[in-house]
Amino acid sequence: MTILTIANQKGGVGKTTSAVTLAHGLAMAGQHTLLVDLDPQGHVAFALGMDKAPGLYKLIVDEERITDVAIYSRDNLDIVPGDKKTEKAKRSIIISNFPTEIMSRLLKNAPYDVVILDLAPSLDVLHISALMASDWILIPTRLDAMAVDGVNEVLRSMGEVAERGHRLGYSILPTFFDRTTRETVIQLKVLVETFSGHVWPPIPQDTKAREAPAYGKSLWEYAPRSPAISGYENNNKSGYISTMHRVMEVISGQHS
Amino acid sequence: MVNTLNRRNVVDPAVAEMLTDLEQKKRITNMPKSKQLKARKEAARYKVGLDLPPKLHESLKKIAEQECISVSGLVAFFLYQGVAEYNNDKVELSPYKRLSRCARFDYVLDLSKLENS
Repeated sequence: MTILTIANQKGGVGKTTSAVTLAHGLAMAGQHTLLVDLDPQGHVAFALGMDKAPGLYKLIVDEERITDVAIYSRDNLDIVPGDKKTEKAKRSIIISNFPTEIMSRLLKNAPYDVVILDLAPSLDVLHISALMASDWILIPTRLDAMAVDGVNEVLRSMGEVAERGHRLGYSILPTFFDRTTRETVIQLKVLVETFSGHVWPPIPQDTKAREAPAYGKSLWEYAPRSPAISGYENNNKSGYISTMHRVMEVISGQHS
Repeated sequence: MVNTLNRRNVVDPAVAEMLTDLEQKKRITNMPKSKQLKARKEAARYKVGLDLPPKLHESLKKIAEQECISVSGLVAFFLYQGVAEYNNDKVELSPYKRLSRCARFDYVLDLSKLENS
């Protein structure tokens, strides 16, 4: 089982869109996938046309089994939904023993090939606990200075996790990429100069990605030929198809 | 000794290609207008327009969609195979050659047999 965490403390950078799109993409590629919503906004369920629910709360506070809490969403894709009760779950973690190890313990032996954790835009105990459980971190970022600074914050958190003896691989996923905007191109260059091979091909800015959740559809269902999926000129060199290829390499251990 | 060292390219190839494209576009935009057209033509020299029979184009699009790849990639793949076969004398063009009425070429290829196969 591979645990992949989608994290950036900056909000509105495309974390949930990336999590939902990759989870459904992996499921369609035959990977039995679980998508866990760690954000009290509960937007994972919403984006997939389902109801918000206290799935994470039941898992953490009521100590229900993951197989009982996970809900069928699509073929090969289950979700643990979240809602405002996730906030209460966080508070109960803080007063528990070994709070940073709780996600590792809850996900241990989960019957899935891939687990994707969609984090909230915050830095709290759930965040650290998710990083501790993860094999790989994917950091979506808009290409503006504040969002890129959010990348540094995630890397600092990963540094804390490394001090506890858990070293993580990571990749940076530029989102909302608009090749006609000067600032976007400058920030992409800055990212590549700073993080070189950790930067994955960007996801083009695409209205379809904003429309899909309104219909409760993933991008694969709503607009499979959109630039966000297949990149500019549909050449698959950017967009979520290129991200999927790299995630599959991570899962198979070919990506370092 | 130092001369034998090669710096490894650690940037994701797709990202590097995208940055090169963006640099090139920026360079062209900054040129005087009189030079931009020539520079654009130069930049696009690896892009070719091919005159394909509509049925063949449709078939290519269908295969590309099934395989989740681009039509360009598929055409390049088939062309590599065709060129290799031609170079190994496994392809015979003479049965398809017809005299051309065009001054630029001696022959044209009559592909109707292939189209119906």
